[in-house]
Amino acid sequence: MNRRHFLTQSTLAAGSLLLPNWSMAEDNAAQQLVILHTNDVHSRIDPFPMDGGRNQGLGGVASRAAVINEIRSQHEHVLLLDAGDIFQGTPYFNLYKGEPEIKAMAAMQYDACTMGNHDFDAGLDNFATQLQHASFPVLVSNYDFSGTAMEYKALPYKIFKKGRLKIGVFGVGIELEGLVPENLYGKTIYQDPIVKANETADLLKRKEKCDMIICLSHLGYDYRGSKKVSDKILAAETQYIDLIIGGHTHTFMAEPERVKNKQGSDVLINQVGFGGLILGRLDYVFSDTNKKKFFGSKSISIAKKTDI
Amino acid sequence: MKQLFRYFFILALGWQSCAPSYYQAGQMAYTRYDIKPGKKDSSVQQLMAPYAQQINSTMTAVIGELTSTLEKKQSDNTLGYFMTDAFLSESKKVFQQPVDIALMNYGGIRTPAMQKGNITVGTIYELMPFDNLMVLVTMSGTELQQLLNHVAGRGGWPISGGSYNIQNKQAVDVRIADAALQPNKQYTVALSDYVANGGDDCSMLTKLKQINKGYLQRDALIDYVKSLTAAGKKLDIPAGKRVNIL
Repeated sequence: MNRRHFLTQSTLAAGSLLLPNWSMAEDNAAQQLVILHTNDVHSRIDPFPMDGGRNQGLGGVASRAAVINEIRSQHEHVLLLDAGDIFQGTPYFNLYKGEPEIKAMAAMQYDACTMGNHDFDAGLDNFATQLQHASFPVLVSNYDFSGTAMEYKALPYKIFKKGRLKIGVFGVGIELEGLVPENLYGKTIYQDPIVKANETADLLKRKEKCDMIICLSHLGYDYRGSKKVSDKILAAETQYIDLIIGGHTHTFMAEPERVKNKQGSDVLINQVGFGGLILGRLDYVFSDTNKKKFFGSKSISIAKKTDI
Repeated sequence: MKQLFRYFFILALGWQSCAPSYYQAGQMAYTRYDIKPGKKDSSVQQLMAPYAQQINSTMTAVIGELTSTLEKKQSDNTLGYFMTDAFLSESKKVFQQPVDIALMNYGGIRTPAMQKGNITVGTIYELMPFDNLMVLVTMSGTELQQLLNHVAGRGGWPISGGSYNIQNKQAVDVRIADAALQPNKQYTVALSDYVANGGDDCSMLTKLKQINKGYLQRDALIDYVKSLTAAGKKLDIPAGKRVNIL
């Protein structure tokens, strides 16, 4: 046996022993993902004022940032997301048109947000301008921004790599006509959110092979008895979406709701009220699977919830 | 040695491709954090400090002076008169067109009184915390009578640019700019988008065309007080009931 051959063999042997171990360690680390989310924060930079109201002293970006920092110090793979209506509701917005809101989100290292109807309130051009302070993308798949200031600023989706996981995140926005004055949304064209969500989720699943697909929605949780598209309808009429992080209706959900999609798979919907009063946290555990199961219908088990 | 590393590399790559590349979420645990007072992130706090200081000084900024205390009341709603006067005056400027009257829904007036003396920006925010927008709706005298009957049935709303009396839950003696209401004449009315979109059961308005420039009613109140101050005047609501319950 010449020396070179020996070395090769022993290195390979050592490698074959060691490599899977390293990789397994990496796999284990990658199998957990913490998703943090807010919606309808409505320019609530300071805590709610001490006016005797039920929310007095609660919320505020500095307190939220402290909670987020603590979670980040304990977990490697965190996604921080917002479902829109960042703007409007306190004098901060009237005075600064969204600058402190976006700066605070950048400082908290938000990964992505979608656009709510109130984010148009100082005009689409203003929203586009304020994004100079953002370090995160705005995801909307069903607004056609061609010929507007948002044309090259909004993305339909973004894929986040967290360890070995590929997480696809996209956004859907609400019908603007009748809700937002036309002079504020300008040439923005609203497209059917169900059609666009199916298109985008299909691309993220089948082409990009994302392990999880999250939809940031500003459609609203539920409009009982109405045909108006909501997160409940979106969940039921689409496939490949695992989680809908909602907004608009300011719904305080006790915990995420499970809905079956058109494939029979579980979709979770969650929303955390408004004003930055609550931060939602979903801890997902992933396991490896085969290609057939990956595209097939699936269910998720929900552990006991915690209130902090 | 170089070749050895190449082998090693190819093998490592080969192993990678055999590793599972599909993952599936099987479990989820939910935690709901109430954001309570307590630990604050100092860097975010510092980042916001200049804005917060400016906000505080803005809210306490005095923009005008009120000669006598205004009250929210159903029949002689002086606080509502101030608001509708501001809406009528400022909507003419912003929309740059004639506006006949302004109405304010009673429930949208959020403070029982405005004390005489200094008016601050904060006073206006308390009075009008909502982000209601100013809209103009043009309607016939018949349609306006229908709207005022609805308003009378709810106990009456303050008006500027006209007057009416309430009898048996109907609006009577309606006068617009000192002339009796004419059924076939067109009138332009300043309203909140909330009301024009059918709020407070005003469904009769939803079929009418609206003009909306994204102008907040709160900004109209602030602009009106500031314009009085700039002209060297105090806010003073002239005596005289615009809405009488007979």
